Amino acid sequence: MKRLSDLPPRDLDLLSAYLDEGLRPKDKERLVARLEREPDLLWALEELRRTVSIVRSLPELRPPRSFTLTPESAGIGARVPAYPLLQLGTALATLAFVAVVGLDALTSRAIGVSLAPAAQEQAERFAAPSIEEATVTAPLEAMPVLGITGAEEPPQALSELAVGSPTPQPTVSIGEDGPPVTLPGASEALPTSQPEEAVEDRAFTPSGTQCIGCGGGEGELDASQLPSIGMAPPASTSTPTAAPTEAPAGKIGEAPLAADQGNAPLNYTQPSGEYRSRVTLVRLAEISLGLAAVIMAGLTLWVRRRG
Amino acid sequence: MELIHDAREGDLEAFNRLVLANQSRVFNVALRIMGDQDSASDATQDAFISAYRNLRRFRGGSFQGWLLRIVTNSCYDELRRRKRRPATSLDDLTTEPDGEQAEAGLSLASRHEGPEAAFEHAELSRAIEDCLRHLPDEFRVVAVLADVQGFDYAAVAQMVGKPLGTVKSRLARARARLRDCLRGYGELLPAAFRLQDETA
Repeated sequence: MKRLSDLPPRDLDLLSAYLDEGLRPKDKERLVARLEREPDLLWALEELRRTVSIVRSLPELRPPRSFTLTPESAGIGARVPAYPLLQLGTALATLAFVAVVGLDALTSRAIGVSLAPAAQEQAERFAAPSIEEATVTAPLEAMPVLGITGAEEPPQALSELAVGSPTPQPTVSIGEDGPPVTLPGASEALPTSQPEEAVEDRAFTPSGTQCIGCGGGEGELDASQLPSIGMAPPASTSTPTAAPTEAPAGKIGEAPLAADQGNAPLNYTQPSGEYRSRVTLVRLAEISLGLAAVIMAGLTLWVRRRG
Repeated sequence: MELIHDAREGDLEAFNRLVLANQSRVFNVALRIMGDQDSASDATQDAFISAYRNLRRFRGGSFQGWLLRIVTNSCYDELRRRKRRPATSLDDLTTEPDGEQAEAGLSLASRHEGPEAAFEHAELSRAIEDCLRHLPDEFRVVAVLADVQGFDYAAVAQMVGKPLGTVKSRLARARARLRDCLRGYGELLPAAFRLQDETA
């Protein structure tokens, strides 16, 4: 036998594994028994052992250079540009957040200062019920009288209605033979900018029709229009006697809310709406910028840690 | 293990210390598989880069074994590329010892030996390398890992990703072919290593 490659593959596997102590005990016993009987097999084993010994004598060579990694070769260099960009983004987001919060604080203070007098005035008006409330709180007993008699009704009943308002300021001041009456109380209760429709919504005659002469409060009334609700008759000089009563039912009883809204000056409700929408926008901007700043800061730290 | 943990966290310095500790063995495996220093250097560098990028996939056990598996696969990839685009290396055309390789073989052998012994070892190394180079790739890888590097069957099976029986069988055939190849060098081999015929 000249070549180990000519050996049966099974025998070759057994001999190779025998050299490496990789045979099971039973297979090892069988192979040892065969080796004693078969010189060719023994020769093949010795050749394999010599070959393995030769190959293992191959020296280990020194590497020609060091294989340590640089950040570039490790692929870290590609991430480097992301770090300063993230830093810049974080700084910008934080600055924008601080600017919006500061602006919000300043704007809120300014609006609060500008609204303060109007709000105070409004509060005073609500604290002192106007002539319209007197209309609403008119005694139920008076309603039939008003509804039936209208302009012919004795002034006394109407004067009681007007007196029903707890407003300390007299609503009507008329002399016995005085000229057409002005109603300063009404003019105060209804601002000049208030449109007539609002007044018409609030003021009704006893018969349920709208009171034309009541509108605005600045116009002059003549004697034939006096018996409308909310105004004292010209002859009425009686002292206030009426106490607060229950709100009347019916159409008049539904009026207070509308009357209150009509009383509120326009320059109070409109800025409030704008302010609210602006505040909402500012809050959204603050939340968005704050979140952006936090997220970018987190990303920056993560990139820095990995880089 | 601490170095591996730090390297996993992205500490390049820790990983480079692992490189320094293992680069000699990784390079030698690559050299014996690829057969030339340039290809071995490329495969070694690729293996370390790949190891760094995939360090989170290391599940414990032998880190060196994991590295050798990576470099083995890297070598396989390069050998497959060579087969698709075959190119004759100048190293294969010359029968004389290549200057750089012979020098490397001599440099290690001649440290503790005289010039004659150093020359014999250089001749032997060249003969072994030549025989290894002529083995089929799958036989060469197993022979390098088991006989040159001294890993046991289980470790080799893990590195090449093949069953134990396949590794045993490939190794036996590789050894038989190596023996037949080395026999051709006859007188070039030192007397102690000279292979004998059945009749000798």
